[in-house]
Amino acid sequence: MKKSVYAKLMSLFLVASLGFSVAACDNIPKINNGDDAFDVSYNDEKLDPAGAADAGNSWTYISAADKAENYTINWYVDVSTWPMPTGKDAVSKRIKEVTGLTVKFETPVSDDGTKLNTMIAGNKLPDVISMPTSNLLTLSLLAKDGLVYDINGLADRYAHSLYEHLPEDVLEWWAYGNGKTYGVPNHYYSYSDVPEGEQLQPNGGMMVRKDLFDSWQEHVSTDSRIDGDGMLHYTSLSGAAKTVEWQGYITTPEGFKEAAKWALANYKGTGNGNGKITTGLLLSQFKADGCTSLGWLSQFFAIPYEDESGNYQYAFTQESYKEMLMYLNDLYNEGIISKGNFTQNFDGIGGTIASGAAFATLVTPQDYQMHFLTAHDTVVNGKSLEYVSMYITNENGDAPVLSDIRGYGYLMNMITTGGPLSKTRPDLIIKLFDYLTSPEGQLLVTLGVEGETWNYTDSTKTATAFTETYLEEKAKLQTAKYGLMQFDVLINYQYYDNMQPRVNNGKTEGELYRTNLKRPLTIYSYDCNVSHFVIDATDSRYNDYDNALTRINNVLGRQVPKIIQAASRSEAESVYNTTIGYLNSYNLDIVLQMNAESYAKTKAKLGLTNGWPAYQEGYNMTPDRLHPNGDLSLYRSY
Amino acid sequence: MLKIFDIKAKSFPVTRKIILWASGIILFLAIFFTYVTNVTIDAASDELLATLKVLFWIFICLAPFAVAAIVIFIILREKELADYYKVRNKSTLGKKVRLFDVLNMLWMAIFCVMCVYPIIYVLIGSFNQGADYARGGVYLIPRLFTFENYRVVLEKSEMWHSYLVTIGRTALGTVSALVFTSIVAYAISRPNLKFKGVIYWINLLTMFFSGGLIPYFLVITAIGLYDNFFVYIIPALYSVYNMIVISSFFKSVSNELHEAALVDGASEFRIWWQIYMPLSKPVLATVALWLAIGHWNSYFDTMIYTSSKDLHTLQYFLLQAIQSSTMTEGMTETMLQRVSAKTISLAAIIISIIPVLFFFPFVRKNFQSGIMIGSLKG
Amino acid sequence: MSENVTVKRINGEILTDPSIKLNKRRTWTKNDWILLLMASLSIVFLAVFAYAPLYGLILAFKKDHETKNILSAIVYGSWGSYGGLEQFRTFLTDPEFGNIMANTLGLNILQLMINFPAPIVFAILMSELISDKFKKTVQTITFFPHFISWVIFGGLFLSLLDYDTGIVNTLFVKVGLIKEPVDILGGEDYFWPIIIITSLLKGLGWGSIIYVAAISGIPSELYEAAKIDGANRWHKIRYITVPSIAPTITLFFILSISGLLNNGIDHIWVFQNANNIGRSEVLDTFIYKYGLGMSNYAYATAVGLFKSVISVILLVSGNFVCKKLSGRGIY
Repeated sequence: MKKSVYAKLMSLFLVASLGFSVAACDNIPKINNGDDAFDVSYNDEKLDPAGAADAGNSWTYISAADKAENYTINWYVDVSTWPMPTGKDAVSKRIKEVTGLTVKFETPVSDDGTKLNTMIAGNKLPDVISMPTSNLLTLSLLAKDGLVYDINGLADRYAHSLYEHLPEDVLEWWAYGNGKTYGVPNHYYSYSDVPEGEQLQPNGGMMVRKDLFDSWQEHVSTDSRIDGDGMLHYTSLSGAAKTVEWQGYITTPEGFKEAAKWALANYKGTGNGNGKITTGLLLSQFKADGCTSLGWLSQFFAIPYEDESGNYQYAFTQESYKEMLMYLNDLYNEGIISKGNFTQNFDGIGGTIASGAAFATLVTPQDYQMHFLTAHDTVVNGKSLEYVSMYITNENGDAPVLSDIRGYGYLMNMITTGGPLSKTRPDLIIKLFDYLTSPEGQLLVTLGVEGETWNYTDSTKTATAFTETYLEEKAKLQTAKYGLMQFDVLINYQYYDNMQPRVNNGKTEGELYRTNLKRPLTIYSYDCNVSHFVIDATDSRYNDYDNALTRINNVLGRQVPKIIQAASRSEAESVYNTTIGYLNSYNLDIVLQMNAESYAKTKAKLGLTNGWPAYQEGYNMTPDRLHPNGDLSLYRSY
Repeated sequence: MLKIFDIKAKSFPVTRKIILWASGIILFLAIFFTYVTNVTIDAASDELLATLKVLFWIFICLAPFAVAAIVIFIILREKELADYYKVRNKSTLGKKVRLFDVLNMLWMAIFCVMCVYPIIYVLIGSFNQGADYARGGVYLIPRLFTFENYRVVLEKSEMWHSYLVTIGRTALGTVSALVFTSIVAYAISRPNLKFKGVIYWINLLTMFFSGGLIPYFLVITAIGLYDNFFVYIIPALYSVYNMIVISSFFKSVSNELHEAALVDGASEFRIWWQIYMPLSKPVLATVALWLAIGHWNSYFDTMIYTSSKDLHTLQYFLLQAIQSSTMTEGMTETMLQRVSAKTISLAAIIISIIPVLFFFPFVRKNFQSGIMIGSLKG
Repeated sequence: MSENVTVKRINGEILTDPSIKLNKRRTWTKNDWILLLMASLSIVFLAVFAYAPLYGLILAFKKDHETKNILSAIVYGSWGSYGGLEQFRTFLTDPEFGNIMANTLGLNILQLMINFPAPIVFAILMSELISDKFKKTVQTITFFPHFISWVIFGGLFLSLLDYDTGIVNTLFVKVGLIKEPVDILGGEDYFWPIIIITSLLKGLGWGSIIYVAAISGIPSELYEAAKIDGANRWHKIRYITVPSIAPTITLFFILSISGLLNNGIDHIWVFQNANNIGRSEVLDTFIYKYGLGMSNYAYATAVGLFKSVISVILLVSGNFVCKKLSGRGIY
């Protein structure tokens, strides 16, 4: 009796409380999977004055009445580490003058997407969402759910000039199957912006302690294996007899191994900046889903992502990639890669660099700029612990094929259909986008207000210089009020690079060192846009693809350290084979299949017959062995 | 002799405490400024150096007085102790110091050192220059001393506002949650509560099952708490875990007390407020500490349930500042070398935990007055 | 059970007035209503903040990746295959499932054995300190580490234990205790001890508060009386202190048992690395990587629900065992 009363009470309570909550949330959007997915409705009353759309810049049509409204845009950037502009600087003021809009930024404090999810489900959408382009799934779902406007639709209606300002290839790159694009990226490298014939910097790089490098070169120059012509004779790892200019011996896998061993034998010790080293080759942090250094090394070793017949090729299963792992295993067993490397976190890796405790590094240099700079600024016995870029090649001596920094964007900016302002006035926001994308807006965001911080130095308006006032203030560390480079959500970096002041730029020696970190390697960097192919997240197989890829990356993240740390080559090989087995069981097939399809599609989009630079014109198979540490004369003075 | 040194005066213990603390702080600052004026300070302006020099001399001049005061009090204390021992040695209750006590004290001291060190480690880092700190190996004293990390954090006006928000939510949140939770705890601790079983299980199950963030968020918005200061208070009013803890202590209060009150015609509500609450101070103080620290450290609710800057709490502000390095915004190269997100975050920790240290005296006080629990049993 | 006791006592006192006895049985007194009102405060609160959102659990039985709006996914999302149990099946058949459960349970049982009794012992030892001043100082100081986040606290250990530059290795090699540095952070065998020791260092003082509170509630007359009876220190601990705080110990023991599947994710995160992953991957880190990390919310919800069910089972059985052994339980 008693029990049943309790049960009744309990169920009554449950029903009541659940009923309450369902009542609390009406208007739940249904899931669109059919043809009406991706659809949004437009508020067509706000169209520009007749005929105005084609003439001139769209933002000049923002009416005085709209400007007087003092609209605020809620702009959410889904990256916890993104530095928000304060809104109290000259750039924000100028944006307000031109468009009448004030931008209020918001960022989360954790990167697991919870903030965005609650905003969507709770119907508290911001007006603009900016999120990393790497998050393909979310990008496509936002579009599919009808949560964001398509840029084409908005531009057609309210901002024709956007098509002039935003390069066509950028818009096309991100278009979905329906031909529409749902956002405007930043940090894109359009073919129309990259100056003809200019090579861009590579994305990753290898760095070496310059003082140790010089000592090694001095040491090797007297090596007995050098013949009269300055050629050094050595046996390659696979046992073949080879020769190389002695200056470039360090760029061969064998030579690098010897140099690192030599450095460790002569300079080993624990150093907090005393010039001693603890490791021969520093790899970046081994995270759960992998280590970026392997990617960089595979570029130095010119491991192709395309086979000779132009089909996509997966890295890990290739014989040359396996050989690369075996090389790393060899370096580990020789003590060149330290055991500590596998357990260090970002701070640990950074500390090793900052104290100059690695002979060479394979980390992503831009991630550790501060640390490289600290090493650069440390002087021991009159010598700086500066790192400079260097390269190594594969056993055959093929020149490295480094992927350059190009790409189609880091952040994607999308205008939502449900934000407080964007719900009714997307026209204002797309006009703001247009303004910021235009040359005028780009120069404002990167260089500041014309006449205040910079001026054109020629009549054709192609060269700029900072004003004396700005440079004086900069020297006094008083630049926050100008707001340069803060509003970078829509920045076109390549355009800035073309336009930035080349003289009178006020850069300190440290800043120049930083911007030049990997520049000497530019000679080996190529356009590898095709390898950054975008998987169609609207594909029905995407779910499986995404699951399989995450699994595979995590398996590799766990197994690769085991391969490198195996006690012997044969053991390393057996771990490698087990790993291949794991990959297959985690559905590697679907990953390969969809990658191959996307690769082919992307190739077609870019109009390429061959995607791998080594198969293209202009690739020079033989590296310049006489300048093994990169050519420092390539350093830019701006 | 001065009046403040009169052992027999009523105000003596208080005066002694104040003077001893002041002397201690003066001595500490004297040492600190002696240190600071003798190291190279990164990015020190002339005004800063001048100020430091002045402060250094002030405290150096004060130091002898502080030492004198401490010495006098030590002498007085000795005298007091001597008198005390005269009485105590006669008493049979007098304790002898045994080997166990020495060992116990020794290991406690070692453990304390281990617990203090992490704070010192943070403190040292917060005074170290950013780029230099990245090299690692800063364990005992700052290698390149600087005030920049603190300057960068303290200069932001938003920080002071967020400090106020946090203090407000901690005070209000702790008191309200303590009252609310203990009301329920009392009811559930009573054996004569009707439907006790079902009520208890309704409570217990929620400790394990939750519907996830999104449905919770919808509830918050539905009842109008979104972007409202009370989103910090109301959802935190009650926690089953704390309720169980408090009610288990309520159960240990002797039942006779309850019956006596009933017979006197007191209502259950009055019994809770006038008998059980005062008797359970130790556990209430403990739970209050948990609640207060929880409020003080929380940032997640700020991120999810608020959107206006006015509601930013201290921890949220500091976290965002560190992560998005808004602190380093607009800073040039030279500045970036002086401070790093890491060293700024260490300074932020110090700033945010200083007030927390003041919670303890309050809590300890209540531990001592808890002797009454079960006194009727004995 | 105890209801009888009360009734009996009231009966015993007011036997002469049969009308009240009747009232007690048939109708509710004012105090009954007050008590129920007090208790139902929690029901109202939980109905809104705990039970109302429970419909979110439906997500565990749905497919994922169909919409970004999780609310739509909960309400309209299509059901997973295998009768809605798709996500559970994926989890239970995961090749890593066994290892993860072993790590989670192993680490937690170890913590239950070491980190659960430690604060109790610590609180007792603290109560035995002879100087009051020192006792206060110890109490305050041992709380300190609680206020430093795991990232910072763990970061200190990472730099102390580093293979190449850590003080521990450098010192031991110099002294000659070991020839080669020991890979403490990377060794799978060291991971559990590291977690145990660091959580002891960070949590001992904080965890002991409740026991300190309980001990301070023991009437000092009890000790005085025991002293007169000639009890030594051990006797006092054994026969007064421990029995007095036993209810508190039981309570927290049962609560810890029900939390056997929870690991502090921040803590694990700091010390987890590529080399010790075999021993450091626990349920919480797994959910984070494969659920939230992949935006696979249905999966995360399903694993969370699995955890909840196990926790309730553990609570019930833990309570049962405690009741059998000590006669006390939390319900």
